[in-house]
Amino acid sequence: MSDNVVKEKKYNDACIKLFEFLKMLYDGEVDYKWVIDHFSDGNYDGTSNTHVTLNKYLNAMKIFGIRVKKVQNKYILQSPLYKIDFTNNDIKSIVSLKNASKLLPKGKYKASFDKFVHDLEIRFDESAQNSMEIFENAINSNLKFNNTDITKQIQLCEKYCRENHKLEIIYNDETGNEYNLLCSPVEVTYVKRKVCLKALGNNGNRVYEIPIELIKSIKQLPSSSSTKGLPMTVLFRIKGRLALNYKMRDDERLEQLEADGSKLIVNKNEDLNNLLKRLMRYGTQCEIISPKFLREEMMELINKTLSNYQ
Amino acid sequence: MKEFVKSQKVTYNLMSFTGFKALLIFDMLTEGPKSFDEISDIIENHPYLREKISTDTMRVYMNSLKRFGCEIKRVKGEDKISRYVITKHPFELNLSDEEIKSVVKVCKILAKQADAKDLIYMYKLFEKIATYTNSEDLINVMRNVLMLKGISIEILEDLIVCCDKKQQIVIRYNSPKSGVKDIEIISDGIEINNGKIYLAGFGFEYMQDAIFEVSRIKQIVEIKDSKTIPQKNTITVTYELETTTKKLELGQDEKLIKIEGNKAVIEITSSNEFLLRQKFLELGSLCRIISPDKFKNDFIETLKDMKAVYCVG
Repeated sequence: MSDNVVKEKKYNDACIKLFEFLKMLYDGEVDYKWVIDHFSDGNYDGTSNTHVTLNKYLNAMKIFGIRVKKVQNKYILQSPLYKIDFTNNDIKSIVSLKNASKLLPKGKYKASFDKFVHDLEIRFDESAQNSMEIFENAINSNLKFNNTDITKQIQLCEKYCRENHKLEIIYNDETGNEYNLLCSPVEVTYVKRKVCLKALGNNGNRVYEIPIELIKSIKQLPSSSSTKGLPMTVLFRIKGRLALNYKMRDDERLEQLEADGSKLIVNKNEDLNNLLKRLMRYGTQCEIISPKFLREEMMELINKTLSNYQ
Repeated sequence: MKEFVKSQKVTYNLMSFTGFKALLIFDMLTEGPKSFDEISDIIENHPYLREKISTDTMRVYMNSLKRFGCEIKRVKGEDKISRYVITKHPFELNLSDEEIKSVVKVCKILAKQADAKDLIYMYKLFEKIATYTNSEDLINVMRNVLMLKGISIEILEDLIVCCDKKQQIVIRYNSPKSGVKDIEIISDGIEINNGKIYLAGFGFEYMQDAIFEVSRIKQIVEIKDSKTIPQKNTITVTYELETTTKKLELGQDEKLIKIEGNKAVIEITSSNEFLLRQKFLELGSLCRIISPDKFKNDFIETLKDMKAVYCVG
């Protein structure tokens, strides 16, 4: 055992090298060349016995229970020194997250997420590794995006959002009426069990969230969405029991609390058709203040509903 | 190595004893505090080592681990013996801000599709990850993303069990209208709606189906041994719905009477008129209530009142 002295504290250099090698394995595949250079302090000339020493360290790791595989001159960690105890339910959640991540477009989010999963998987014990294999094969989730056709459409929409060109979309509403929309794509969103393409309309920056399954065709136009416009802001008042119980959505904020307990809420970035339906539910306890055209749309919707009874 | 597999005997030619001891000491000290004597005993009795190591050698190992990046602390127990423990080391899980952002993004996708059990499993996974990482905010962010803010996980877990068994329970509920009170219900299910988690069931207070925000449930006061069969005051409403037949999805309390062209006639039974009225308001002009007259007329009055709000404003 060769010891070194730093500030009068002795340490073992080979021991540190072994742990540094292990740390490299935690971060990913490690080249044989890096390893041999590491253990020989960069002095390996092919004749020294560093490779014999390396084998001894690899055997020590193996006998200790750390599995390292060598594939095409790269070392890969298969069973680590330091593990985290994951339950079967943890593994199920990780598998679900992995499935959902398939929808992320290639880029920094996808790379960061893949690193997160790698960081967890590298700390699995043998039982967790087995469970992972079983759940990955067995989980036939009922998530819509596990359907191949939908997945392709989602990925296409993600691509349109990235490329940021204007789109011409033909889609149906829930009663089968067909619409033609000229818009700028924003993002793919997940509303309840529906996957939607969120877009800003060309006129007035109205927000649309169109269920992908209702889209008949998308044509990408040559003109880019120049500067992305700000989504429309909607102001509405809630009162009574609703005001007491109301939980604001992600894109909402409280504008004002009034003396009688009423609340003025600012909403932005929500599909206006969905917002209208939601505010209809609240009946007389809710009133749209602005924009004027949405107030009028609400009025029209109430009148149209009333006309069913005349 | 083949020789070892056969004989289970370890020689200096086979492996690095220094490496093996370093791994063993790291393992022991991450497991919990150990004194020099305890470490020495374990090494001496280890089937592959069987050797004594001096206190000085042990210090060299500890210095090496420190130099690698381990944080080793000395603790003294009631027996006044110094013990050593690794409190931090480079193999710990460390999540970067980018990783956390990407995980939040994926969780947002999943949360919209998950049921309450899945949300709890995911929350517990991140609770565990948070204990292994330096990302203190992670768990707070996840509570929000997974719609569990302000919710006691233990209560939610118990409610899921009660709902599975359709048990009659008494909950202590912080009602926005009337404050904290005990409510007796027959639990039926956990629903997620508009980013909130609700307990659905039959409430004995108003003798009707009801939903209760789980974040307002402070305690399950009692789980009854037997169940009362409630005399439900239900209402059956017949309505016409404009729809494309392939998209028609009926609720569990609904019955399809007939379909003519793009119109379906449906019957729905509920004990909660308020929830029914909300349903029909949301459907708006796509639906027309046919009967009963009283419910229909009340609904029309509500619409007229709503119209008045906009006419006056």
